[in-house]
Amino acid sequence: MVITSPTLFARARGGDRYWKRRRILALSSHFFGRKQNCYSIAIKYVHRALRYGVRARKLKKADDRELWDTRINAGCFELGTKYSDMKAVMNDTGIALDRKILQNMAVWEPRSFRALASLTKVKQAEMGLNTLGSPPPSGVVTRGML
Amino acid sequence: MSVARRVQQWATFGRMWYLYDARWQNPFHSADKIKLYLAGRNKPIYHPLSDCGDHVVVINSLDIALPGMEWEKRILRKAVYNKLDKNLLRRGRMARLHIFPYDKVPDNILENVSAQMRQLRPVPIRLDQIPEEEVVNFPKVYDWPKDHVIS
Repeated sequence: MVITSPTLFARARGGDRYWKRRRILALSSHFFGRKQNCYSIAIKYVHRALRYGVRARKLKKADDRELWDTRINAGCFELGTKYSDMKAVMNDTGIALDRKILQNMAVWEPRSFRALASLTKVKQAEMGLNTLGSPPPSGVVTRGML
Repeated sequence: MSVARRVQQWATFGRMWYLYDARWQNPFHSADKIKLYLAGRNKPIYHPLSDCGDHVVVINSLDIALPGMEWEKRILRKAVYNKLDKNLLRRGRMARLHIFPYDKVPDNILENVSAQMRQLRPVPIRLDQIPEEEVVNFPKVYDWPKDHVIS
């Protein structure tokens, strides 16, 4: 049923059995079958849905993080470096970018991300790491060169 | 959206066709690598709900190198199938894998191929495949004694 009067809905909260049920049934309005309209069945599934919601708010953070890691790894792999190396170099040089920003750069600002990858390779070459492959990219100036 | 941006988007989401030479490669380690491309995890635009996987054309699948007695157990297609995520997208991703026993690939597939995946390890060369001249001229640290018997 459509809530006809918001004023009444707010004023009658708590006391009236009808409005108390409306509040629960509003949350179950998208459920299937008798879970949608029968109060005694709906209340059970609404409580369960709210519990799922609490759990999902925690899981969402882990899921996002996993997706960002996948994307950053893919971006690094395309440019011939590794995310673990990039993290170490960013730690050394004091570049404070988190996963969310990094994956956004890899998707929407590939050239800025490529600059980070080049920096990673040059800094690694300065430390004498991963130099067996191709020579480090030119055009990157680090503090060690100045 | 301008024409340039639209074309950029097509190019970003276009399917690539990768060529992979399976000669002397471990199929299980290869499967780890190939599954990334089939699922689209090799590009930063990856999202589990977007269909952004690539095609992989595997050639020389008869010449894979299996460790130990694995010959009796598994093959490349099954290896990739097992390594892919176990969900409803698996069949579609397998459909993007094309395996050929030799380096002969039909023209309609070969014309799509636009990139090649790096092999996991260099193909070893047998001693009898190296030219005689190169073997003779190879620098030696010392000569065997005349009376030394090499079995």
